[in-house]
Amino acid sequence: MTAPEPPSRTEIVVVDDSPVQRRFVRAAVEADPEFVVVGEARNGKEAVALVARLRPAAVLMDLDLPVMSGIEAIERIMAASPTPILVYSAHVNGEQTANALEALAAGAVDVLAKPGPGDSDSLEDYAKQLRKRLKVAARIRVITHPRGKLRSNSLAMAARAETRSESPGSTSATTFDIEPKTGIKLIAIGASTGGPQALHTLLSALPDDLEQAVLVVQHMAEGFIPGLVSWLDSLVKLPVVVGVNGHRLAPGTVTVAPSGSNLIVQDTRMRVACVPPEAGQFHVPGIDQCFTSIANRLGPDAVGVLLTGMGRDGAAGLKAMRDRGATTLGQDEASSTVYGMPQAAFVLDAVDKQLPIGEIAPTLLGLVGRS
Amino acid sequence: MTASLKHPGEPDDNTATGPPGPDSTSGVSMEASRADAPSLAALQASLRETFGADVAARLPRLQALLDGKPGDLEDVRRDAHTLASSACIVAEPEIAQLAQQVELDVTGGPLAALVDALRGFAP
Repeated sequence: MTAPEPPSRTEIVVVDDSPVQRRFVRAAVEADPEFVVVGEARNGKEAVALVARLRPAAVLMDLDLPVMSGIEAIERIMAASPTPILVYSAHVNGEQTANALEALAAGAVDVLAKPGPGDSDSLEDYAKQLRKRLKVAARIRVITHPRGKLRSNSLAMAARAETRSESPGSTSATTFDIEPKTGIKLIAIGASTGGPQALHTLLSALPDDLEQAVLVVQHMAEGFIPGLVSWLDSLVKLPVVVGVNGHRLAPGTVTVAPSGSNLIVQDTRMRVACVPPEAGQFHVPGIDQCFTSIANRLGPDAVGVLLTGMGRDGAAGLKAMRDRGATTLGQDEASSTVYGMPQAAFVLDAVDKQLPIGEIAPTLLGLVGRS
Repeated sequence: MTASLKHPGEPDDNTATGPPGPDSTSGVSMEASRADAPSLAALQASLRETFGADVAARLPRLQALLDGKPGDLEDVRRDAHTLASSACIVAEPEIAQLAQQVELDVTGGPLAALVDALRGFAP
């Protein structure tokens, strides 16, 4: 009789220039028998080579690395050997939130802050957080990444646009079967894993004189939303602000739902309220809650867009919007970091059209008569 | 199983490594996940040895800057960054804070105080 096969373990690569950190992280991760650290790299260049050779289930990576920075290593890994990368860094909190967003934009799936000088008593908690987040990250099916791929996509789109102009029968982002609509007041966007980069791509393509309000609900850990807003505000033409309880959504302004509550639209004048999350609600702010309120208040006068993300938040809300006459778009699988939420929406018949991320903004502009 | 704090996969020269030996996953644990796991305190004690070796490797560069031989300031900043995060793990908050200040301001930070504090760790 042969011995039973041992259960397969989740293989991890750790990237850090500190031998102390590498040993600590290895110990923390391997405290769970599910995980095994199969390789360690001291810098970004080694990490790229090691991940290509070992093809681990996930990578734990510091950002501040010698030889090749963590951001560049993330981009290269995601372009050549797409692997879920969980970043842990001392430089991702407070004023340095931009580093976390840059890592997410480069293709990392999650970011965790390293312990600070006064945190040695909470190392057990930190180790638990590492394992918990790693369990989630390792399950994410990532794709060749966005940043490198988007560069080539934009070239391909330009080429396709030229072809379309020569081929009247072909579909295009701006001439496909969704007709321009009058009366659209709000573009509502939901995103999760991979969202910052997708939002950057989409919002960058909107003009600064857009007449519609834009509302974004991005799943993000407590405290990161102000950083996301500052980062986007520095990159896109439209002003980007954090949503405030009782304020109205302004035309030509991107409002991002704050963390810690659900942002709902209260009336047809687009006054918003920040309401406490529901008991057991996993994602806060919730996309479903926001989209459903928009469906109820604005009906066909809104557009719903569901971008990359794990899970299914937003799918039911997008369906509610579509059922009330709103036009709805979903990011396609090929351009999604995680084709979870858009897929759930598609399966639910909540999506009028699935599109590559680079074609969503042109489509929105076509819808509001700005093509 | 022997609860060894030294992982067979941990290279002495800290170079990148591929798959470690077959028993490389049998060692350190940080809580009750494995019955014979050493405590966090035991792990930290072991990590202090690793910290000492890392300090010894980085100290000459910091000392050189202090002695007026600056070299690459970016290397020194990175050393300070690495030492700061390592010091947090081995429960040396004072060193962590000094290193963080040097990381933020290599030439104007408390480099002398950091070097003094680190000398006690180098073997």
